[in-house]
Amino acid sequence: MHTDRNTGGCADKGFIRPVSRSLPLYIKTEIKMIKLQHLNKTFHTAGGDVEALRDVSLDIPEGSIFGVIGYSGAGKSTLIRTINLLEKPDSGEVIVDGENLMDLSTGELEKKRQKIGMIFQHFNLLKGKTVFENVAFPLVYQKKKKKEIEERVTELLELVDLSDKAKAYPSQLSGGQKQRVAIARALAADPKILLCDEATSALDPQTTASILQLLARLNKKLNLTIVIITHQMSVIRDICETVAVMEDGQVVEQGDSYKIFSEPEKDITKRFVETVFNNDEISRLLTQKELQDKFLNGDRAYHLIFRGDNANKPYIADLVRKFDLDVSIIFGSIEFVSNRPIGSLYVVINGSERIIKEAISFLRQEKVLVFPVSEPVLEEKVS
Amino acid sequence: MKVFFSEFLNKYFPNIVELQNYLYSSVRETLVMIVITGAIGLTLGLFLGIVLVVSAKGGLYESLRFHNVLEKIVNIVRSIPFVILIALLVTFTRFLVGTSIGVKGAIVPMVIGIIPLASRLTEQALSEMDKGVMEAAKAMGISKPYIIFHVLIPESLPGLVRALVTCFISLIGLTAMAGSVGGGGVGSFAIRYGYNRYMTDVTIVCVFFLLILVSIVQGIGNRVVNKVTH
Ligand SMILES: Nc1ncnc2c1ncn2[C@@H]1O[C@H](COP(=O)(O)OP(=O)(O)OP(=O)(O)O)[C@@H](O)[C@H]1O
Ligand SMILES: [Mg+2]
Repeated sequence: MHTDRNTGGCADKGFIRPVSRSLPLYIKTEIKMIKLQHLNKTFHTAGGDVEALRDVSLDIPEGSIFGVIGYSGAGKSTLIRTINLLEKPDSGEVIVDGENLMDLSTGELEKKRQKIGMIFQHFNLLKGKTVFENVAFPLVYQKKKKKEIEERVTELLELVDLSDKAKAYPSQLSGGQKQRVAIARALAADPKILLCDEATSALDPQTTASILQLLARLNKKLNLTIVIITHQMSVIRDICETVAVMEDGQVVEQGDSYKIFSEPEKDITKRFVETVFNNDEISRLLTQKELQDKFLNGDRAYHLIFRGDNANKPYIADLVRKFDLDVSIIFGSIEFVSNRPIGSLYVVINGSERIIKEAISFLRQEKVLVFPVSEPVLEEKVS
Repeated sequence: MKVFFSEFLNKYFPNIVELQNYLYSSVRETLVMIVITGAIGLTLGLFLGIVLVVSAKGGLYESLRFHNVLEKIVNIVRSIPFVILIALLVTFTRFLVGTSIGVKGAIVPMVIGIIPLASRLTEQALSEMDKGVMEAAKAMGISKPYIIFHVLIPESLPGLVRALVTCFISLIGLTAMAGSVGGGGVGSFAIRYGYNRYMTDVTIVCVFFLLILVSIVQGIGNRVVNKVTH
């Protein structure tokens, strides 16, 4: 049933894929699976109007993994819910696989939704049904033959690695297993698109990684177009080829993940990028009062993030030579985004305030991200 | 043993022994009333409860004006004390079943009396349903009626069964009350002999019977709840 519907452009996608730079960009972006055009949505609540979407336009190519990141309340869920019209925009167009969803009748929309899978933060499984029955549910609704359902469900459970749990009830599963069931159920009707609304936000880092791996595998195997909503930049780093950053109902920045990571323009994007490289241990260490007094003598610690292709530039030497500053390196690491390196350095700079300022603006001109090290903030939990 | 038992009965429950045929028929009447009003009243209550939930804000068939009117009616009927409801419904009952007394006459006000409670409890049980699960079903492209019958109701089953048990127990109370105003059944038996003629043993046996009935319903209910909770 799962014939590999791969087109050449996607054949080399792995968990962390080399972005196929060699391919001309137009081949990858030629077929748009999802086109959102000038979406607006305002909620009228007792506390006043909330503009959840403000003129949002997005093009999502077939077979890609597209990420949308933003803080709580940015309008991410509202956006992803317009893709299957769970949320009807006040104005704008939603075109999925060539069809304008706003033009469809109720019945046609239901048919269309069967081809758009969706998974959620809280899994939303049927508690009264077994794993098997949950996955079979959409197929039973579509009046598929019993034998066909049995085969398909068995195959899906194999795909998500849960064959041994067919008879279990959701309450007997771990969070990661529940999400796997949800994924199997979302794929039951062989959709072309999978929408993921904070699908890993309720999971621990290991489980998150395994779910992301599964999504990457499905993307490759089924040529599935995946839209991922998240507030974790690490999710974007791990599997998204393209990312859109949302703030206050608007898409403020979008593009190729590596580019967003290496050359973020908006402040909000920079903050998201920093979260990925942020080493909480180091930050905590460098901001503890006693330690600061003892080791830093009032000097400030900074967190520098720079692109791999700039890594061979002698920035630190420049700081020392050109600006006559004392720079000590506390900690360094490298992260890979789309298989390309991005470096991260924690340094302590000693010198006059004016010169430090100059040095920092020099670094920023060179597209190095500079953040004063501040106390780690506990990551906000998304409801 | 047998001799001892009948001596015991004769000594402590003389009136019951004498009126045993009356007791049997009262018990039968009570059971009949409960079964019939239960079947009709709870079905209607369940239906109204579903209508209330799906028409509420955020429901599958949201219609606030309709919901509010329906809710008002349910609340009004619910606030009328049952004895007064019987009096209020006399004409209607006569018109519907030809008499306002006896088992037949009791059924109509009992059905009307139980509907508001049943629909309220149903509404409560159904509104505990996780909205996300309904949404997931919608996202799968499943039609609204199918969602009601294959997601909303089955997923709320434990709560619904609990609601039904509460309704049945209230119904047992209603039959006793209906009996006291000429409705037949154990209630009227207890009033006529136990209360009016000071036959304490009759009252005790009636209470005992009702207690057993309540515990049986509760026991079955708990079992079913356990069965349908996963
Ligand atoms: N049904 C609704 N009624 C009223 N306001 C709503 C509704 N849904 C969303 N909103 C408002 O719209 C804004 C965007 O909400 P949305 O759920 O899209 O944010 P989000 O980016 O998904 O946030 P989170 O990360 O917390 O899930 C918020 O201010 C929210 O309060
Ligand atoms: Mg959200």
